[in-house]
Amino acid sequence: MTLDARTQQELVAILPRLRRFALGLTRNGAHADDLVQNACEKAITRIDQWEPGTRLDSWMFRIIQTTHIDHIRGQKRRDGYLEVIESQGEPSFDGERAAEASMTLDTVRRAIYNLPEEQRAVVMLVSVEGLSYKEAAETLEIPMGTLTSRLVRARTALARMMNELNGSGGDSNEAAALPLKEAQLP
Amino acid sequence: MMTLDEGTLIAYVDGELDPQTAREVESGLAKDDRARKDVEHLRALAALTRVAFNDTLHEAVPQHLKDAALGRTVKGVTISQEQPHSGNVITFTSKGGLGSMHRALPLGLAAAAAFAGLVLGLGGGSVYTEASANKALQLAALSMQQDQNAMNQALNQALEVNVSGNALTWVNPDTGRSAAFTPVRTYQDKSGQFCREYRKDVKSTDRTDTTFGLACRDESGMWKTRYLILENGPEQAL
Repeated sequence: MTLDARTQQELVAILPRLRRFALGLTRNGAHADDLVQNACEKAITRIDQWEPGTRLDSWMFRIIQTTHIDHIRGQKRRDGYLEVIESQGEPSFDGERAAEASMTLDTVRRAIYNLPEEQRAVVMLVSVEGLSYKEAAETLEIPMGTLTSRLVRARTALARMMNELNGSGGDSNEAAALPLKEAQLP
Repeated sequence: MMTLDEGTLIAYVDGELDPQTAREVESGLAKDDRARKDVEHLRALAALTRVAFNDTLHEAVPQHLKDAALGRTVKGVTISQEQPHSGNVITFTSKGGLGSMHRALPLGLAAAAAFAGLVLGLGGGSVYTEASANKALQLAALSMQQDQNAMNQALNQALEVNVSGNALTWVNPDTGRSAAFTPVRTYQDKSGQFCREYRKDVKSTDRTDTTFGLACRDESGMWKTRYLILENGPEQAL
């Protein structure tokens, strides 16, 4: 099974956005790329299930999301699963940003990473990718009511976390609220 | 007058309300300082969230993902971050599976010994002696084995101390062989054991072999390679 040239081109063109969505779900760059790769391979074998004329990005977001959920379920059963860690010396993506802006964005990212799985998917689709509520609900195959209630819970939690992280004297909270992995090599 | 609950305000900020409802919200906001403040915060949060992951958009997409989108990947082979490979995966599950491999290599004898040493030295160094048919080959193999031991030490050192992306280089001026070892990514498994993907470029007088591997650190501080992918390796090695 192969894609026609135009679909191939479109798929390559949306790869940056697919990686961004996958990063939000997996919270880890290397896992995100593995996820996108798996999703691409699945998409190619199931391309007959995609209706030409409908949005390829939404379809890919759905494949990425279901693959991610399958992976999480499988992960609990599998032994010796490798969890990627970043050593402190790894180059960071926002090295050139002004420190302040980068800290704020980093705070938002960390707050999003701290959301429960299903709220994170909703935030990534609506708030980051800019899908409408209807498109996001269709992509995730959930009712509109479920989508909006997840969105409200997610935004409320984000606002609270942002306040905690930005607020004065929030330093001690930060470590407790965001158990980020920072492992050093032995 | 309508109630300005959180759900309504969030939908308003997201532009999800119909024009009529949006106007009602706006007239409600004019009389409600607290709700106005909430909308302000929600807008700021929405603006930040929108761009929070934009760094990913500006990164170069790894070639292996483009290959996957174009249907060019071998399923399950995803080790290189930087470049594509038509790689062959060798899993070091047992020594037994490796014995037949070197018979298929279409290389010169010395190169075959070198190659067998390179590949098998990590799995169990004794196997390569099967390829030694005469004295000259034994000498070549001995020299290769010495380089191999030194390279294994250098690889261990690179994995132990080098930050991902930084190469450790090694050279033996006597044999003209040189190598670069670059950790690519770091993992930790459930039991806390560290594993690292690495890239190894071994340059001999007439050729360069690139391999990608995954090594895990045992309790004694030795990095044991679990599998290798040979970049542009002989097809027969599959």
